[in-house]
Amino acid sequence: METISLRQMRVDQTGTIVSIKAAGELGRRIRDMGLIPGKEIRIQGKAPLYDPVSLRIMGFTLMLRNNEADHIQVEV
Amino acid sequence: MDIVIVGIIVAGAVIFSVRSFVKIYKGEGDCSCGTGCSCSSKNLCNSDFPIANKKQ
Amino acid sequence: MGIAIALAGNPNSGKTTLFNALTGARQHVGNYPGVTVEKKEGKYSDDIGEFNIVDLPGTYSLTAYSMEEVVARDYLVNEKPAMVVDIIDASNLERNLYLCVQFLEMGMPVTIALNMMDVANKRGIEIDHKKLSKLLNIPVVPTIARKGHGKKKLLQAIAAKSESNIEPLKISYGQDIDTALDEMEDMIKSSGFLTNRYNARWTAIKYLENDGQVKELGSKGDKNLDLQLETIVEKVTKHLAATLDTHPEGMIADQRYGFINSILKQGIIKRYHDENRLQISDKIDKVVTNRFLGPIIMIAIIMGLYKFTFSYSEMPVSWFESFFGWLSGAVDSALPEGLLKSLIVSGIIDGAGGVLGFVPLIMFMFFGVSLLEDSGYLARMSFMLDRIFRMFGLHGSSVMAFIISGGIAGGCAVPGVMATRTLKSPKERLATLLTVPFMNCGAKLPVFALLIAAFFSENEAQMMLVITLIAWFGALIVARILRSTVIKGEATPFVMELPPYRMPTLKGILIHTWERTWQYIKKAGTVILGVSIIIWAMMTFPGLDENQSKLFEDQRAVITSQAGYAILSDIETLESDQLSAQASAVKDNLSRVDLDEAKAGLKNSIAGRIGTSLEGLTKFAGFDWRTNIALVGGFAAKEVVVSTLGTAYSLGEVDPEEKGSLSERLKSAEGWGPLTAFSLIIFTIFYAPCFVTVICIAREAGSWKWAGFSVVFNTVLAFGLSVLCYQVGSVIM
Repeated sequence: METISLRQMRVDQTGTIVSIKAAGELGRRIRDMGLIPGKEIRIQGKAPLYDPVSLRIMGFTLMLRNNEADHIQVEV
Repeated sequence: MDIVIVGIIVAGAVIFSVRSFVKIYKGEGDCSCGTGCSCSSKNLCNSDFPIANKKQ
Repeated sequence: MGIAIALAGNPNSGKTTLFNALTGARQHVGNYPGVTVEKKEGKYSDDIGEFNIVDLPGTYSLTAYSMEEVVARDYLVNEKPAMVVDIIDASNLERNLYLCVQFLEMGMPVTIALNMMDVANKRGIEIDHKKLSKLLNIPVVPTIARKGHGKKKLLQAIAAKSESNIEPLKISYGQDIDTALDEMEDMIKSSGFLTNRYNARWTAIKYLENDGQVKELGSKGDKNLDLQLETIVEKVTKHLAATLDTHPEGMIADQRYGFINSILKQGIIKRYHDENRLQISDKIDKVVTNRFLGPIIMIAIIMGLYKFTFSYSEMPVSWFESFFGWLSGAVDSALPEGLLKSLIVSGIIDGAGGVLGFVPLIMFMFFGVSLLEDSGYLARMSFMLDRIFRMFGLHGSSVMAFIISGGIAGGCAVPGVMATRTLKSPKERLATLLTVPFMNCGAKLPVFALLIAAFFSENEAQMMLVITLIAWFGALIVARILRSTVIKGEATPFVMELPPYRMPTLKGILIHTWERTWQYIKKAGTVILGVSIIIWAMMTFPGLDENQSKLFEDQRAVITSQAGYAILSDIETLESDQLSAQASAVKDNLSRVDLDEAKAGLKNSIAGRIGTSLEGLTKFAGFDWRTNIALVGGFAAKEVVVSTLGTAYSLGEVDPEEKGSLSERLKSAEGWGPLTAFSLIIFTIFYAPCFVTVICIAREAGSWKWAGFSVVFNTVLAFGLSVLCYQVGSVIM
């Protein structure tokens, strides 16, 4: 088990969110979409320029940019 | 005779056009974008969120 | 008075579908988040009762960060609807309940419509809605809005529940926050601070969440108490940072999810599969958004749509053309020579009729766009294009606004301008707002179709694709320029849900297609018709004065006097192929004089003079005075470009029986060629948005300054680009 940021995850890799470092609007947006500690995610794919990234969480698909992914720590 | 009928038609067209543009200007006209907008223009162009009112 | 109910819920959870099912309205529904950007109202009444229904924009939360959320929240606070119907996507219960919990915390009366039960069941999810209702202590009604299932039960539940008083839901956010909340709640209650608007505990929570809107109200209301509350918030914030390495806002969100989780854990959801198991949707995405295949597929889809549109609409368009040709022929022989005939043939049939002629093409295009919209593919385009858009200072959500405006030819800039509301950052929104009019809306489409049919008929779909790409690149470059000069600012985050693909229903698509086509027809029959008549009048009056008319009369007299009586009577009585060579020559000479007279009259008219006076400038772009008038008229609506050219070339004709369609006339008209056509296409893409769009830009940007800017800037840009194309092209060709 190691903790990395969501940006570093590979396609099809799964992990559990450990913490979200962002505060304010960004932190809020991330949480509103269901990205909260303890949730399991799987990287679904990356856009043609490797950014944004799409992932599956709680049974739906979400996309976010690498800049946002940096704030999310995941245990893989 | 010809000129009278034509005059009436043109005057009608002018009145109709001016009226519909005034309506659009006031935001209550028919939606005339011709495509998939929600055509209740009353709230189509209303300003719930003008940018100028939003704080940065 | 009916019972006021508000439909709220996450984006793309089916609010508008339910709204339509309840009210019988046909509001636009698409498969991407954020289709509804303003609230809509409707009515329902039967034996259960009378209901006034408001469809609120979809939100994930109730913060003050985004405009939709503020709109939804303000509506609930100010209008106090008797019931909030929270539409919840059953296949996505946990995240959807997050919003529901926030309604309950506000103390709103809530009924849950557990929507898309069929989709959830298909995915192997079963929900014990009775238990959920018991645990949350609110009514929960399963619905399938697409089929209208459950709407009666939903309304019955609302009618039964709407009178009782509701205690706000209290959630424990951990000891630190709870203590602070209790303290703050007491202070707020005892001083009556904002209590006319919000419930005391909710105000306290919003202070802890650092909510801009509530805090601003607070500091305006009671300065002293506001400071006291801020002190408590600061203390808790510091404490949480030191002990748990978190902040109140994050903590509150996490605990809300914790609360939801504790409920769901009590056997609410039964899953037959792993929740993150690959759905069919994900398998499609693996291919469709693949790094290499994705962009190729995207271009191929657009190209395919254009190919489909142009090849299948060719036949019906030619039927329409021959119908209007026949019609003008019939009118021509039925009416006596004169102004009225000219008005009907040249003004109405060749003007507005020319716009109507493209109805089949428009219909095929709308069909394709509706199909893409309903399928969910458009959200994938946002996904793939976000990175590129960011380089140009725009946002992934701008992609949606672009497409609605006609990014795939055949949208409309007005709803496109509206769609920019989904953008959270005012600067990115403004940049999008100012560039969406470059897209190829349904009104520009007939202009392009006309020019393509006349000059690029070998490669129709390819040409349309080129036009599309020019519009997108132009818009992106302009956005970049704007974003690095007048609207500088940081990029904002992009977190978006990718809706699952849905198989569009044929009925749904046909309804969409027909509604849009009907809008086009209606517009052609009203506004375009009116403007066509005005332009006909401007092209007819004042006509030639006596001296000039006499000049042509004299010419005719010369020809007839030389010809002699026998030949003249031959011309009157015989068919043209039976005429002698001599008689034919006389007839030709006579009609040349007629033609010259018509042309001189046209040039001397009000419109002719305006157009000619602009020629000094526009000749550099290859436009003659007719095109100038068409383009000026196009400011009212872009279809007018087609109708005006139709009228102009119809008035310049003498023998209506010999004429072909407008595109055939353009092909043989002097001064026209592929280069002129291309220059006109470029100008049409970029020049001033139509009147309605300008009004909407002014409203949405909140100032006329930006509307004026878009008119002047776009026109100058368009002119510069057309001149460049025409001049460079003239040198090469």
